[in-house]
Amino acid sequence: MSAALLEIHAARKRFGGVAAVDGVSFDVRHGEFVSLIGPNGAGKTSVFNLITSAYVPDSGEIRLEGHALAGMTISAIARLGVARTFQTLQVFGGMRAIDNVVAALEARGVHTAQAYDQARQLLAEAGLAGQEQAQAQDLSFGQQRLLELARALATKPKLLLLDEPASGLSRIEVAALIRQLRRLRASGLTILMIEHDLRTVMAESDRVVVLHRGMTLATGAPAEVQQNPDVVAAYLGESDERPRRTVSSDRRQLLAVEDLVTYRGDVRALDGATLDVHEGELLAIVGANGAGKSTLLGTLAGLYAPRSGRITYQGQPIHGLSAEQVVRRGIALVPERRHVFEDLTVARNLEVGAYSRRGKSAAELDLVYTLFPRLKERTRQRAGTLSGGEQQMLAIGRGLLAKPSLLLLDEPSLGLAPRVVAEIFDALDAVRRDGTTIVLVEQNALAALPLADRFAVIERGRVASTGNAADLASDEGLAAAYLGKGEPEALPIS
Amino acid sequence: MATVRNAFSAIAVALLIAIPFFHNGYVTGLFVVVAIDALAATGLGILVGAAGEVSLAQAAFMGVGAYATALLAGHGWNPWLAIAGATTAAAVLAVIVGYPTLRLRGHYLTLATLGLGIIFVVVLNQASSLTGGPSGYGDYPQLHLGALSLTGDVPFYALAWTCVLLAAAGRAVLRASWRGRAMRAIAASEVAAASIGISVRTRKLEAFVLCAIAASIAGSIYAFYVGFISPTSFGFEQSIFLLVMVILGGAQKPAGPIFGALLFVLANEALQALGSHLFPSTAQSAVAALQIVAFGVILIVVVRLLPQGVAGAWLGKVTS
Repeated sequence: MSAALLEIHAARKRFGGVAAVDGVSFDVRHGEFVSLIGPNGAGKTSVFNLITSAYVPDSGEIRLEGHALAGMTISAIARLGVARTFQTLQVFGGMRAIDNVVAALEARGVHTAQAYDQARQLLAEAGLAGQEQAQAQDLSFGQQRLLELARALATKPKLLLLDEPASGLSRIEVAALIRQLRRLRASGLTILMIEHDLRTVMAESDRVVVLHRGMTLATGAPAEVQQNPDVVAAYLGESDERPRRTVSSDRRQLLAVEDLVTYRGDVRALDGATLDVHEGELLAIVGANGAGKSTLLGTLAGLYAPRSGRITYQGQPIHGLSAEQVVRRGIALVPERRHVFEDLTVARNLEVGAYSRRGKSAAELDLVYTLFPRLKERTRQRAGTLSGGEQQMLAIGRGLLAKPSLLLLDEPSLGLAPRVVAEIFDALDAVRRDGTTIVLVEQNALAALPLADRFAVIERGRVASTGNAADLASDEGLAAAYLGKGEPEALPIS
Repeated sequence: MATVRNAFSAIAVALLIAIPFFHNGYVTGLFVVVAIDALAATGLGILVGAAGEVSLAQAAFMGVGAYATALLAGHGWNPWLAIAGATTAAAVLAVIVGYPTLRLRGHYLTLATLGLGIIFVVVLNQASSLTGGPSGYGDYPQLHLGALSLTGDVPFYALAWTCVLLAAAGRAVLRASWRGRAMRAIAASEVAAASIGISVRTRKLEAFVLCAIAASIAGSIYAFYVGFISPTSFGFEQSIFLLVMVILGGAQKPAGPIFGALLFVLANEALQALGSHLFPSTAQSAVAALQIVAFGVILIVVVRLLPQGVAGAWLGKVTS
């Protein structure tokens, strides 16, 4: 192996009282493919921000090819050959796809005419041929990720930092991404990647660096890291062996949905969905991407007006009510991607949740803090600085402060490490035991099933089947057909 | 749609050329004011739309242009050289204010220009031996072109609108250049722009200097057009008005600030006339206060319904 391209030694960075990075050391050698993994909030993205100088480290040293990077600007480090993509997309909106890439080429002095030729080439290699003239913000989520990759490569980097490149991509897009990463690696590019999809990480990396609570927990070849008991404990948490629940069918009906039809733009996203929700249960709604799960929740919450059909809640029709009116009836939605108020503190975010009933009490806040002790430690911190998992906890806490009888959750596990997901699901279990009815939409269905009382499978805008959670888990054929996979995401490491 | 737009553009240019031939001093004069504001707003549009920064001192930079031009010309400089000198002074001032503040992350340029915009008027009022203080300054010669003396509405109409069109064309050229692409990238995502090696501070400073230069030239033209300048024309309020014009017209398109200035000045005249008509006995200051309320309402409506500005909505997506 050749000498180190990147060396990080005892890097530390604190925000207020919280140490985002608390002593991280590792190096990346020329031509290596290294993955940076760890539970949510472990400090992975913060390490990227330290390398690129978006954050100034409190102490420690970061060297590229032996030269200390301390005190350099972000753009100077980029010109030294460090390129990155972003976890939350940062394409240049208002500019065409090709101009996104051309701007990067021109920044290292390529003349405009040549830059356009090279940009076309780079876009084609990224799988974006034909999208050159499209406005960057009009591209699909997956295409924007690929555009960021093409833009990063246009800087001709020595070191490429990828921040969750596969998150939000379809399976086909992930396959294309992996092909491209292999090609880049074969061309000699050094890559440092943050990724939650451990199957990809273990298959593609030369080495894996595991972070936990801002510290380097382990470093080694994928096989070594997989065997490391500390890593397994920190990353995966305890394996969930709880028996699936079965419920008696004598519960009272809380919500009835009949023949619901909802359009999203021109798309008939719900096409006659019919469903019952019983008091005190946790119903998991599962189904493939685009099946209509989020539209169903959004229609229940009054965000989308149904074209036809009925929603009856506690014996009263609620279809056609506005979102505010629905909240006042006791239905709270925790939306996909959390949507916390980033500029408000944790405490203020929670207070906003109590807004609809014009009141809040310390006891109710304490209830949320008991469910999520991590939030209590961070009451005065800006929500935008929380990790993804903590933001999800905050979004749920905010929903609970509306004191709902029915809590709707859209993809609470999205992009979160299994350990955090387990923490959140435990909290939901406690909420349900307190008598709140929960409807949960999950793409990662098998993770939700141990928690659920019943399930409903949505397929092309209709409820294809419902039943006890135990039955779904035992029906392999159903799982394979509607969940698109036979095993949970987290298995490959064990 | 493109044909309709071209037809309207042709009609707009034809009207612009035709206005001085109506021999209506009021209308022509009004359009000189539109042009002067449009020039300063176009400069501000570069800063806001292309570099994502906000200046609250655009009127102060107009004032630098106006006062420096008048003082230099009043002390015997050739008026054209005086304009060049004033422009240089404004550019230097922009570097002095912009260089340290643009090194910092956050809205420090906005804060610094807020201070500059307010202090500038105080300095004009206090340095009365040089500037004439609150009573103004008018002891400078007229603008000449060879033996031809430029006075009255029509020559300034031609001069000011030529400058506006040149500035808009200049911005269009900038927009299509590597520098313009870098600036737009910064406006879209500063951190991503830096991460591909774009020199964020340098590009922003350039945008701020261009912004100041346009304001300064607008101020120079204003000084020669009215022949007498006083601090009230360059107050903080005027900086806000210029920002309103940019937002009203749309910061992203080169034509946006020009539309904005046109709408703003015409609406201002209309509101003034309406105010005096509806409340003939009310004090002028009360009418002015109502005007500000009316502008507030217009601004809210535009920002709510046409976030890209009037020109943005009208011209649609530009494929640059």
